[in-house]
Amino acid sequence: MKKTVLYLSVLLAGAFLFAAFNRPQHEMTTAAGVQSISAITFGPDGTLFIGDSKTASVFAVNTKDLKKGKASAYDIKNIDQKIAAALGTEVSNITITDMAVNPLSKKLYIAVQSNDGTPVLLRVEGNKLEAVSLKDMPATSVVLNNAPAEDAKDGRGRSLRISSISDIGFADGKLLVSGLSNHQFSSSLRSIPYPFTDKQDEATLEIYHASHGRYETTAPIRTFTTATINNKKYIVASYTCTPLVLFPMDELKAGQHVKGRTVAEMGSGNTPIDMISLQEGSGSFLMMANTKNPVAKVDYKNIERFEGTLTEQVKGTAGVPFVATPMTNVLQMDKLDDKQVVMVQKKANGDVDLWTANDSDL
Amino acid sequence: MVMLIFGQPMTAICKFSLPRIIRLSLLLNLIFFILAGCQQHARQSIRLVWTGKQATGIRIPGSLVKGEQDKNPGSGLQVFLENGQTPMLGASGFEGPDILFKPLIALSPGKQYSVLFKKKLIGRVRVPSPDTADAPVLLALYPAADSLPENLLKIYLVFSAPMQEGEALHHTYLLNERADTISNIFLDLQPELWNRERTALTIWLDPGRIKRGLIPNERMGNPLKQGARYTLLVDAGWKSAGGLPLRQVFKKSFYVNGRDSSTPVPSQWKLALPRTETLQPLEIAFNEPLDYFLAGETLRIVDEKETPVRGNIILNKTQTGCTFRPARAWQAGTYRLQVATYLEDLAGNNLNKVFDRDITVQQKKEDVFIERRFVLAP
Repeated sequence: MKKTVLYLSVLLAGAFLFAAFNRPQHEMTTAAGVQSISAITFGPDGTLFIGDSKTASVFAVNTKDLKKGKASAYDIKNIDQKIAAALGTEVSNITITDMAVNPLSKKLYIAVQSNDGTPVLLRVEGNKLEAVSLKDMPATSVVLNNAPAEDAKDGRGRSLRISSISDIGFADGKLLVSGLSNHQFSSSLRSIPYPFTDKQDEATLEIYHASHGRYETTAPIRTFTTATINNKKYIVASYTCTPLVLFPMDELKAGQHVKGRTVAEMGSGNTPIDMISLQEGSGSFLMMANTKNPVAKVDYKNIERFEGTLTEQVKGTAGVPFVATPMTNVLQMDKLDDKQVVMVQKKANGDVDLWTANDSDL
Repeated sequence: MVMLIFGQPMTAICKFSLPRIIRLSLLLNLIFFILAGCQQHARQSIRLVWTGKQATGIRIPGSLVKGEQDKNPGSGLQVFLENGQTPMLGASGFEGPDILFKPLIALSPGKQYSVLFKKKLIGRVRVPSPDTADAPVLLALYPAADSLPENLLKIYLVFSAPMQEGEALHHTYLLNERADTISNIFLDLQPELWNRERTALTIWLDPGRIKRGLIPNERMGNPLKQGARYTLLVDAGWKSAGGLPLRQVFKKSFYVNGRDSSTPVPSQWKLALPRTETLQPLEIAFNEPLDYFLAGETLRIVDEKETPVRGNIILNKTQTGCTFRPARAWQAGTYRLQVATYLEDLAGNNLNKVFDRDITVQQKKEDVFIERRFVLAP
């Protein structure tokens, strides 16, 4: 009898283990498996997407934060010190890795990483910081390095092993992920349908950057957004080495190889940090925060008018004209609504403040 | 065997007079009370909770927070860094009769934390500084060669322990021959490109200055100048994830050669073939230093049936060649060395194309592998 019970227990444990190891990645679990938060963005119905570089995965987290809220301006002086104190450490021990506004509740989510690598997700409500417990939140996930086999068939579509997620975005029911390799100077841009399914329709793309119509090089995407230009949906991406490039969304299909169209060089010795699109009156604008340069504002009408192609010389130094706003040292930026941008900015006196710029500031 | 009590044989104690026995009994009682008192004190004092080498929680005796705790653990409890104004975020729960406060991240070494109940200080606890024996070391810097191309694209730093992230450009410098720091040499990339273990970091030299035709390249020129000597310095202020600074400063001097604008060509590599029925290594000389990490993952040997030959690839110290040592003795037959085309040299030129390809020159077809056939005769 004892032996039978023992065998049954072993069998049961084996079945559980088998189920655990064979569980498809998209099954609902919790976000407890998040090991780093490199990038965050909101999808539909309060779904927060978390790009986790350490596990090369993306988590779709159900925040249950669905109540419609008012877009009230955020204003917290010395946000870095307040976060550090709330975590019980010094400013030098933490990094704000990204932030995103839930378009429904208008609550601001801030991703922080401690220097020992521990990720933390915070929420700001009424200018008060609160912790968001990842282990208690339902989530589904997709592993990015599980590239489809067909990618390996030709050299151009070969999957790039991702070691870092530089940005994520959600548009037209698809999650877009730009990933960097730590060994090759290029990036992949993947388009993953959401809700995640068994069949992943991933497109792994190699992005080229041509300069002055002469030299072509690969380059990693640092940040991107989506926009409608001349009635067509595009990914507007910016690279670690400053150009602004357009990719038609409808070409981002599995195995497809897409060459972007460089429309501007946005300045030397500079890395873009964040990009958002704003509606201002009848016009729409692209706002881009940078490491060294001020926030740049580009009128989409000018992008529409610019018809230079990848292999044609970008005229002058800029291609599409852009306006340098007075805002410098913006470390993080997201859209609160069409007229307000919430940002973390390092001020001239060294303070790092969370505040909200409105259309008169922009 | 003779049993000793307080250094005296048992027999000696048995011979003690009554006053001596009373004195001894008093002494034993005193020791018992001191030990019991210590234990009682430990139970009543605020203590750190450790997970490995990290302090991940604070245990607060239930006796110090009596009252509302039955309903809501942690109610009325606040923890502050030093004498700060912002209470720490975290979760509180019961742990036996005590309350366990778990902050969102591990407590910082060397810092003191104040615990307040109903706004009154009930105790402080200090996290000890980490053991300096665990201080990290920069084990290696790649490329290791002493002469590097002027369009060098990247360097790798390999550490003995996981390091703090986001710190690379605060601690890594390139000095010229006059020991002046050269500015704007590296790409400021966040998040930094670490391996999964956070022990190996990739730093790019600003590609905007390397890529021909780009504005930074035309205005500032190549980051490295041909014919010059440089020193790459990593200062000792860089800390491990555990909070300990590097044990020492790391320096590497190198000389800069001309631009490398050609792809590596495996057909020109020199192979020194092993003898059959031996475990001799296959020796491969690349003619130039190649990327340390990519060279380690892009080479393999397959037999006539396309089955990979099991064995180890070991790069030489300057990444100009490698040896493949088989797990089993070589058999006579035809083999192929397969090289994945994403293998790069130090300037980012891979087997298919150079880093900044001249698009006015027609491009050859791109391959996944390039193969070198070799025959081992019996």
